[in-house]
Amino acid sequence: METLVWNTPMLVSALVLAATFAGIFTEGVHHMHRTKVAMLGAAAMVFSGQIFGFYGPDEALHAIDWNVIFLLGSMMVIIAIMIPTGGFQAMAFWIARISGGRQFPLLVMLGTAVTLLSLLLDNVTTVVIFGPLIVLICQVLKVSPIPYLLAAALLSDTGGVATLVGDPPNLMIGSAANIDFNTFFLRMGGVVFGAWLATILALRVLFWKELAIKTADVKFAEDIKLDDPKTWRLSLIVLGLMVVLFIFHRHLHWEAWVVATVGMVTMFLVGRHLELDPYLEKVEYALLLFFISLFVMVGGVEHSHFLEYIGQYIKPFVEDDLLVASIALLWGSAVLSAAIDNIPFTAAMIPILLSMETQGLNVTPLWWCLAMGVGMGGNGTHIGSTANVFIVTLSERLAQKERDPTLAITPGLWFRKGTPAMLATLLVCTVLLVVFFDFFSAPIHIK
Amino acid sequence: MFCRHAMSTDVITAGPDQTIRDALALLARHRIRAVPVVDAEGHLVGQFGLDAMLASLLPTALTVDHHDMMNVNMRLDYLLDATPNVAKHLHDLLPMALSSVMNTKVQVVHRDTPLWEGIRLLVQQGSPIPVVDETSHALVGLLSSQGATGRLMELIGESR
Repeated sequence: METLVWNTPMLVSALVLAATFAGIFTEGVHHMHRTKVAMLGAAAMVFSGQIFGFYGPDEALHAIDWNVIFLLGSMMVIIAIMIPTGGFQAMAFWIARISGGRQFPLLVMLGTAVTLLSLLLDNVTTVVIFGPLIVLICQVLKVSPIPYLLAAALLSDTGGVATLVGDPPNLMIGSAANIDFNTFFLRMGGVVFGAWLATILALRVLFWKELAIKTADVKFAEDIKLDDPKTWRLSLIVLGLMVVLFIFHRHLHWEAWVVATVGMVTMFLVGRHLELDPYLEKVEYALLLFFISLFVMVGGVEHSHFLEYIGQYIKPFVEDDLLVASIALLWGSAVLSAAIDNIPFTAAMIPILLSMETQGLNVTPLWWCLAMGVGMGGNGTHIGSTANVFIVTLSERLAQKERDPTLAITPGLWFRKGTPAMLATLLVCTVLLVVFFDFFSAPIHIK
Repeated sequence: MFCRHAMSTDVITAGPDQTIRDALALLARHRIRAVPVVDAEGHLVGQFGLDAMLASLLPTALTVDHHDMMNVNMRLDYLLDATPNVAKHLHDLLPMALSSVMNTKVQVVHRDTPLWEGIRLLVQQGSPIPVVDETSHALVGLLSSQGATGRLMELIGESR
């Protein structure tokens, strides 16, 4: 393997990348939407690539990972169909009813529901569905919603780590490293179970006083008709079918996006009463465009070989001690994800790991550590993940409306209650990684 | 035909320091649904109505989230026997000043606004709509669904 030499295209692409990432991570300061910054960066990368001859529009088009875009888009539509049916609300109130006014069982059951939904759905979607329902249930039970909101934020991020489709970074990793749904779940499922347990226990201890309070005596209706039971049943059947298809997607030679799109199309074809426009409008195009722009930009850095260049400096550490390198990546990516958006970070890390893989290194445990680190690290701060930001904003609005500042999840509160829970999950991950290192470093692909 | 031709100038108003209890009594006495809130100089500062008051009795969870992707369509029929609590909530609201609960983003029209436009706003924003002076922002009248309909009836010779 010849050594890469520093050259002008590398410098140019590195500058564009650095400037764009700086712009994305300082959104709170300049208030320019991160997608706009990313689009600007993508354009700058394509044009400078043409000028310096390392990149161009054709390469940019190929750099986009359409698997990620189509999967996310299809899932957004499926969720948009499911929400108005009232099924999720029925689920949440069923949990509230059977918890019988005991807070810890309520926390465990709501938390578990969020974790399980996050396995299939995007984390943000899960908290957007459950956040307002949690607030409503806690208001009628006359208890503080904070432990429950925090649990929803923490567990949606944690649950998302377990599957290929649970969180966008996983999908990016799986798509790049060619990891299928089953392999992902088999390697990550156990870790996530451990992290789930750690989070629940940490919350139990951290909110000991709050959870000891008996709830108000509220009578919940037992038998309520959903707003649209037909569509809800249809969507559950389709989701079940999708899980089966995800399990066999490798054998079918279908990438994950095919499964999601088949699910969406099935929903519209079988649900003949479903109009297209009201649901297609709910697709978050700004987010999809953000991914497209990032892929275009990172593609330029790949073509200039800048990330490979960086990779050759990391390579000796990985060769030297894979376990230490894995732990370093786990904690490093966790700390970075707590501070900055984990999606651009993942997008930049993937080509580095890929370049090391092509040089014959076993990077398998590094893929898993990256997934765990970026997935769970976000829980470290109130702005570490989009799900956290949503929950914090919700609690702030609630505090404002109720004129009760204690209802707001402040950065300090997150630091006292959320960060310890996140550290507990990372410790569990580290212990499992060390104990079962052979399992995590076993090759992904059976040749 | 302008809003000044259909507005009523005999307007019942409330002051921002009046309590909700007083305002509710005022609405009941005059059999009206909403009342413009004006300061000592007669400037419109808000509007207080029964609908908005009832909306404030709904759980904040229903109104707190305006994330446009998710309209969770939350229903309240999952909760039985909640009405006494709602009444208690109203009881807590009664001594509060109107300034803390009134709607401060009120759609207004001017005397010279065409009535056709006034009718559009009545339909889209609800009745009544305060008519204010364009320069001083002082309340000069009230455009209501009844007033607009009455004026139209007069135009076709069907006046009451």
